[in-house]
Amino acid sequence: MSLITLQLGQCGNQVGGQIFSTLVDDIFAKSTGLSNKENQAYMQSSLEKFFTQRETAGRDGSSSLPMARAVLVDMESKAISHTLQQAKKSGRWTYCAKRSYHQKRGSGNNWAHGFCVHGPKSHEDVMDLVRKEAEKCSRLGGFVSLMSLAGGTGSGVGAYITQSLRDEYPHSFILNQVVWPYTTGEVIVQNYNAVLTLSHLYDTADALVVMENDTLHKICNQLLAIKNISFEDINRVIAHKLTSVLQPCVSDSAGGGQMCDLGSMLEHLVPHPQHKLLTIKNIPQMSDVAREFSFHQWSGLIKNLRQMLIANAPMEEGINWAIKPSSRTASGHTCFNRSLSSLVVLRGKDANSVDPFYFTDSSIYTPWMPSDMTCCVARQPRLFCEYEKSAALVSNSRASVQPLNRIIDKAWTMFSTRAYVHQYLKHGMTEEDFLDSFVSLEKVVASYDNL
Amino acid sequence: MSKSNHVRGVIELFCKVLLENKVSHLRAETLRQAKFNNELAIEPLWELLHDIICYCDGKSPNGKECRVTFNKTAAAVERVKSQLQKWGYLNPGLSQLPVDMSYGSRQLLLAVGWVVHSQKLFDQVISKRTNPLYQHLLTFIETRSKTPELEKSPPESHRSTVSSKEELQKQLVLCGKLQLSLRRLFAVQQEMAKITRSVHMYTKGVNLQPELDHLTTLEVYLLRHPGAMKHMLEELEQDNEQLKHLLDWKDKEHIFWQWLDSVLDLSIQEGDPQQTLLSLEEEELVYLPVPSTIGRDIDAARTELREAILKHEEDIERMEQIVFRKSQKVSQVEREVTTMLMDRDLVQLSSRLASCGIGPTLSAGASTLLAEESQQEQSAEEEAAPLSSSRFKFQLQSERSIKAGKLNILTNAVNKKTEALRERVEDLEETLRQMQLQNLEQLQQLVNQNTDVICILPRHFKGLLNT
Repeated sequence: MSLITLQLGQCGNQVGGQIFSTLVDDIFAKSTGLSNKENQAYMQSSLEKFFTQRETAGRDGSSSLPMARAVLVDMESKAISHTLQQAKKSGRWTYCAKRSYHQKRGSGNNWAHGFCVHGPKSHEDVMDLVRKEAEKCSRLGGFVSLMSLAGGTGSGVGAYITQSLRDEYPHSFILNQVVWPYTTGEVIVQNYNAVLTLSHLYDTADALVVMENDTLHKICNQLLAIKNISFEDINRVIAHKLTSVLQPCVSDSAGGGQMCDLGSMLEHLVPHPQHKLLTIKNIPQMSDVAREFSFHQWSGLIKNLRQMLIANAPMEEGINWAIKPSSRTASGHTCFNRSLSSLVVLRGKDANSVDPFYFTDSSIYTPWMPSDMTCCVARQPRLFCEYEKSAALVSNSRASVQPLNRIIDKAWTMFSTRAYVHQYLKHGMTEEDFLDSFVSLEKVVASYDNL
Repeated sequence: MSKSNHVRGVIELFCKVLLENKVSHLRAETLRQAKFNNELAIEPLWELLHDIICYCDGKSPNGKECRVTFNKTAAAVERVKSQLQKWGYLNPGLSQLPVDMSYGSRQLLLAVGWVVHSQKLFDQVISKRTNPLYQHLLTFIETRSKTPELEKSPPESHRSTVSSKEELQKQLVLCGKLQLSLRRLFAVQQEMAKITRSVHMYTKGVNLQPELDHLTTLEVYLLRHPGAMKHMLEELEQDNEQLKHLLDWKDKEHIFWQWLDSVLDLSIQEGDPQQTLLSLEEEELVYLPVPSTIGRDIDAARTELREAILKHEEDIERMEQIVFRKSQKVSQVEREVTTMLMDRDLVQLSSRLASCGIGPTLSAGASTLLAEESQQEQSAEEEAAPLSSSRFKFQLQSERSIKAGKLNILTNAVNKKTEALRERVEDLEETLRQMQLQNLEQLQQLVNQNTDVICILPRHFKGLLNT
């Protein structure tokens, strides 16, 4: 099974490059905790999933490097050429340079420019690249689109390309990883862009993995103890989160022994058409230096992870332990982070013997969800990124509603005074488009609130 | 070897073939017990009949496609009886057997014999056999590794407090899950097709089956896994053995039928004590699907028919009287109306009779025939013949004579008409000639008066004038 990664816009390309290099780091990691044969199988499976490999080496030997199954799209050439260069410099993997599409001029942080102008213009070429990549897969497991919400190209062109992907591949799985902008914001119209992107993606993609810049920043600051946090550091955290879920693992459900591919993950996590927002929580996360001197117990990790889910804490530090599924607010409402479904991925030593009973408890899920469909566990005895034990939790929960609400509110305040709207209208959008987007997102918020 | 040994061997073969082809499990002893009406044989024989029925319906009870097992209930027994009657086994001996399976193993044995013969069970068995080399790779691996079947957890008990809104959400979730599962299935199927294709491509030019130009996936698998080859060999040997058993059966089949004949003889000689006891009650048991109200329906139909006949008789009498009274004065309209009324009744009654399976069918066309009949009489004879006799005539006349009569009337009418027309034409010709003459004379006079005009008459006019 193979996944095709679409790197859209500047952010998408940077994150994509980081993801592939994290993958390669993990695949060729020194300590694996497995026998050579099992390790080979894991490596083969992972390489098959994310890379293509030529069977015969070229004359210079470079062609034997794994080549990422990726399509790079940006309206400026800067980010793409930088990413290509970075990959080449690593000397362990490459991109196929032919699978990139770029133009001279960017979208200028204008969603409408990306969606209405660049999108239709680049549609045919990008789809051609995707088709070529898809033809190389013996089984197309799905698409992973990486993009940001705030910018113009990633969000505008990204939304358009996702729509085209759905049209072209109606039966494949599409997972969109979206980077949520900082609350303080680099771009004045980021809330408009985010609202428009989210509402469009909600119709076409199967699931949206939300990565909040604020949270990622905190993780870098507190857990990884980085002083001057750059986007590269943040991208590394994103890559760590995504790969910890997407790397090969074996799912417990349905008789057991089944490879947990993207399809089965999505089937489990996003069966409800109105609930598509996913968040990933990881434990433990620490700097390379600290890792060597730390020791974890599975029971402790799982317990922490569960409380992170209930209290909606982004990391294991500073979790509010007072929140319990049984606790109620003064008005009688539950105040914990209720989920629709969750997927726990356990990687590392003794992962096969861990009992995740903390997550099978039905009180943390919405009452109408059938109890056998709430929690799914996937395991992989191989160490992940040289962590001895690590757990990742993908949850379809209320966690993203708060930031979503914030964005909608801000965008609405701006829209009520029609600020900057003319910039969007001049590219062929109408005010109704805005209103439709607001309405559909309000619906999403409402359905999550009703969990 | 004695004859009884022969028989025993063949009966054992019969059971073995049924077992090997997954028709049914049966002990040879059971059949022998059944010959002597032993009670122990009753239940297994009902089960055998049930299994044969399932097999012939295309659903093998032990196969994967069907899990209907004989559950020893009265309903299951009745189902077997009903199916046998549908196939045409109308022996009351079987249908009278009690549903609690308390006796009647010999009757059942006879029924088994009849079903095996009439449904050509062994022909079906042979036609359903497949070559193990042609089976799908997955079925081969499955039978070999015996993967544990998925445990079916019982459906979650319905929570009593679930509101309809929550139920709706739940359905939405299940629906979404199903959709995503289908997509996954689609992807896996595509992968399967791609991989199979690549196997076929790489093995192009090598073949084990003469009609193919490549190896099948099963063959490639066997070549790569020597252990599987051994397994396949076993399977083939087993297949061979089973085929041999079938051949043996074909050879020795007659012994089985002879034995069954002896069972029939025994049954006739001894009679069945319980059967005679039951037949005293004169209850005919029918298990064919008939509507439950059939008895009432038949009674109702019968009384309706009787009433209709009575009503009709009255009508006839009344009409005869009317005809007598009016004799020649019957107007056309009256005649038509009565004909129509009577005809409608006739058709209705005859259709009722036909539905009961008695009497000829009479279509609506009878009315026209009847009408023509009476018209013919009117025009030809102008005599007031009693209507009853005309009806009588109609019933006797063959179709050909009716046609001839019709033709006669037609030719008469045509002849008369032509005669009249001819006379009219002659009259007209005469007047025309006279008018022409008059006109010519007038013209002649005019010409004579005016000398400036030169008139040249056509030649045949001159001839006319001269005459």
